[in-house]
Amino acid sequence: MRVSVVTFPGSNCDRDAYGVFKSRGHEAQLIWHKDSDLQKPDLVILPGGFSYGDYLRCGALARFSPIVKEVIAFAKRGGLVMGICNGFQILTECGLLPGTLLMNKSLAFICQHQFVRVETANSPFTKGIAPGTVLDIPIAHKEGNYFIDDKGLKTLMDKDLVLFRYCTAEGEITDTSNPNGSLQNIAGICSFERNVLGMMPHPERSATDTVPSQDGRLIFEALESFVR
Amino acid sequence: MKENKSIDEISSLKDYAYYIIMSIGKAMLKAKIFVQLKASVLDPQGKAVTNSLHNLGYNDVSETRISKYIEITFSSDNPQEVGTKVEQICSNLLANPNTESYHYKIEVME
Repeated sequence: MRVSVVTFPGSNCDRDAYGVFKSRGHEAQLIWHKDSDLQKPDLVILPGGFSYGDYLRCGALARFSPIVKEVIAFAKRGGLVMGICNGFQILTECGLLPGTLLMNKSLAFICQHQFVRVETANSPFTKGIAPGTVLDIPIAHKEGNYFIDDKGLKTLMDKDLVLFRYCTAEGEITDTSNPNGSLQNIAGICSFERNVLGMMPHPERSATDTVPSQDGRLIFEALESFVR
Repeated sequence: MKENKSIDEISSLKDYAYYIIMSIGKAMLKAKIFVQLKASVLDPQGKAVTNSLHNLGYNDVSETRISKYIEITFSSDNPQEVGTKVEQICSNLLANPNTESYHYKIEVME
């Protein structure tokens, strides 16, 4: 699989994502945000971090980086795009995903291990993972409080676009297992065409032997089986 | 009316027209823009401030909403042209239509 990881000024998870794909034997490259060539990828990663210092709104300014125009065109052609954390925020700001990531209800930056439940196997990112599977994937953000209006929420539910929800270790969706106030505990969604994923948890931080959880691997394995 | 009268002191339309005429050609326009969370969107910062105000004894405070205030200065003296641009700037960048609304006024800089 050819993977292009975009680096914005302020990205800080680009090398983690790059490293994970490299370690899994993929052809990965880092693409500078001012470039206008995605280098023919199978998958584009918009990584976590603080693009443009989170000025104005998280992800709002990254939208105007030259490479994002290419990412939008790639996604519209059906290309796979995965936005993690700040990447999710950028995807909502540039209109590839619906909704908005607001400030956490607690106003605090939250950095912790988090259980998320896989809601559907019907996506390239969750293919082969049984719905209800609980994954331990770290989160690290201050603006992860997913919000969408009632009409948008209904579409997400009707079209089965919610891929991950915050849950307890047993997979229950409760208020106490919701770290940031997200509507309906939403942690990750995909686009109507199912080729664009945005998620606040960091699977690239739970996919190597050196960290306590390796659950993020399931998402990369799903992508590998989809692209093959 | 004196030319150096502050725009905040102008009360009549006539004074305002005079102010604009005197300013044209040398003036710059400033857009004063407010970006607010829509009423339907929870504002955790506002809620925290309300709690703090209650702790300070202001128990009759029922709600606080935090907004953004942005000033943009234009080297143009054409209010219509600037108005069109400000509208575009607000809808394209400054406000997120999912969660925020905006309003603004355009003033001649002193």
